[in-house]
Amino acid sequence: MIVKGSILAVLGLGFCALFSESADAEGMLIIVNPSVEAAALSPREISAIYLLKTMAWADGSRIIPVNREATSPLREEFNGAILHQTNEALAAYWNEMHFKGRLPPVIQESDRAMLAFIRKVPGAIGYISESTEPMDVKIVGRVP
Amino acid sequence: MTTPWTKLLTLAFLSAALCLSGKEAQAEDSYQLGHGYNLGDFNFAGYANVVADLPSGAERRALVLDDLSLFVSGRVNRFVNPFFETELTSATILHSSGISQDKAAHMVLERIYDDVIVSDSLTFRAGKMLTPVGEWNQIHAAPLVPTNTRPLATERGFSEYTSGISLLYADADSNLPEIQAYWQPGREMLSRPRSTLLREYREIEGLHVSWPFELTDKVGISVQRSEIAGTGDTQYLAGVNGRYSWDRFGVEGELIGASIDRRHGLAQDSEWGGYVLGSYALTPEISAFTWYEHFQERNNTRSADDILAGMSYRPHPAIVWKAEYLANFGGVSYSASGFTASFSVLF
Repeated sequence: MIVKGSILAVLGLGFCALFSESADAEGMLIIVNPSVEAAALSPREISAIYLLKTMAWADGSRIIPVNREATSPLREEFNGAILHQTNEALAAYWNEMHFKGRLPPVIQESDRAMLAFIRKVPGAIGYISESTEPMDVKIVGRVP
Repeated sequence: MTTPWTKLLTLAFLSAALCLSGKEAQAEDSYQLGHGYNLGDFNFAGYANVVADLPSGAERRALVLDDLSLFVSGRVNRFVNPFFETELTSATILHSSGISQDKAAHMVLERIYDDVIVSDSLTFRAGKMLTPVGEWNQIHAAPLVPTNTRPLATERGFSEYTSGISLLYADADSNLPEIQAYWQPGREMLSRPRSTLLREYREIEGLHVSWPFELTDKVGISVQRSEIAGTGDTQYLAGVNGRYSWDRFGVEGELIGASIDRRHGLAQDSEWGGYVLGSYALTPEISAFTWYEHFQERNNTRSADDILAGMSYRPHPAIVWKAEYLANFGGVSYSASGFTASFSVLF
C-alpha cells in the first residue's frame, strides 16, 4: 500500500515538474515595430495600451495593438498576466469601446502572422511565444 | 424618410473614408465579427437589430428592423480622427395584417465628429455626438445593452445628441475619474425628423464624471442645463448611473431628475425617473435579467411603472438573442405590455 502510494507520489511530482517546464516554455515576448522609440514597457503601460487608454506613442504616432484569436492559449496567458481579465469581460469591454469610437486590437491568428504584422505596420505592438524567434522586431517586455 | 443632407453627408463621408483608406494599408485589411473591417486608417462596422413585437391586447404585432447602423472611424493622425454613424431605424418588415407598407422608417445621422488627441489623457471633440447623460445613451446599440426595451429615464428627459464641442479627460492609469464636458451652442445639427422628436433641446451644456472601478463597472454623475426649443423653458438635469458585477451577478441602474424653470402648460415643473436592473449569468452564454422602472414625466400627473423579465443568449460576443416580457402597472403606459424577442449583431 505504502509502495503504491510512493509510486503515485513520484509520478505525480514528475508530472508536476513536466507541467511546470512546459508552462515555463510558454513564456512570451512583447514586441513592437522597430519604428517605436520605446526601449521597454511596464506591464501597466502594456495594459493601458490594450485597454485603449493610451492611444499614441511618445512621439505622437498611433499605437496599433494586436491580439491573438479568442481561443489562443497565448492570449489567455496574456489576459491573465497583463490585463488581469477574462476573454468574456474583455470582449464586452472592447465592443463598448468600439461603439464609442476606439478601435479594439487587431487579431492575428498565429505567432508567424503576428510577427509579420508587427514587422510590417509602424506603431504596432503584439506578443509572441518565447520559442518564436523575434526576427526584425523590437522586444520591449517579457512575460515569464 | 431621409433628409437630403443626411444622404449627402453619408455619401461624402464614405467616399472620403474609402479614398483615404486607399493609401498604404497601416492596419492589414481584415474583417472580424464585432470589430468590423479595417481598411487603411479606417474601420467600417455597424450593427443590426431585428425585433418581434408581440404586445398584449389588441395592439398590432410586428416584425421590425429596429436598427441598421453603419459606423466608420478613422485614426489618421493626432488631429484627424473622424467618426461617423448613420442609421436606418424603425422599418417594419411584417405586421399582423401582412407585409408592411410602413413609411415610418427613417434615416438618422447619429454621429459625425472629429477627435483631436491633445494628450494621452485629453481629447477635443467637435461635431455631433451622443450626449453623455448616464451610460445607456452612450452605448445604446442593441448588441451592447441588456434588454430590448430601453428604460424611459435613459432617453425621455434630455437630448440624446449634442452638436457642438466637447473635452474628454481619461487618465491612462485609471487613477482619476473620467470627465466629459460638452457644449451645444444652438440647435441639433442635422436633426432627426420632427415627427420622431418628443421635444427639441438647444443651448445645451453639461458635464459627465465617471469613476470606473473595473472594466465596465463604474459609477457616474451627470449634470446638464438646456433650453427647450419653442418654449423658452430652461431645464436643469442631474443624474447618477452605476454598474457593478460580482461573479455571475450584475446590477446596474440610472436615476435622473430634471427641473424646468418655467411652466408652459406642463402638468409638472419637474420630471424624474430611474431603473434598476439585476442579471444573473446561468452559463457564460445565457443570462436571466429583470428590471423595474419608475418614470414621472413633466406632461403627466401620473407616473409610469414597469417591470420586465427576460433572458438572453450570446453565442458570440457580437451576437445576442433576447426575449423578454414587460408589464405596465399603475399609471401611464409608454411602452406596451407584452412580449418582445430580438436578434442583434455587431458586425
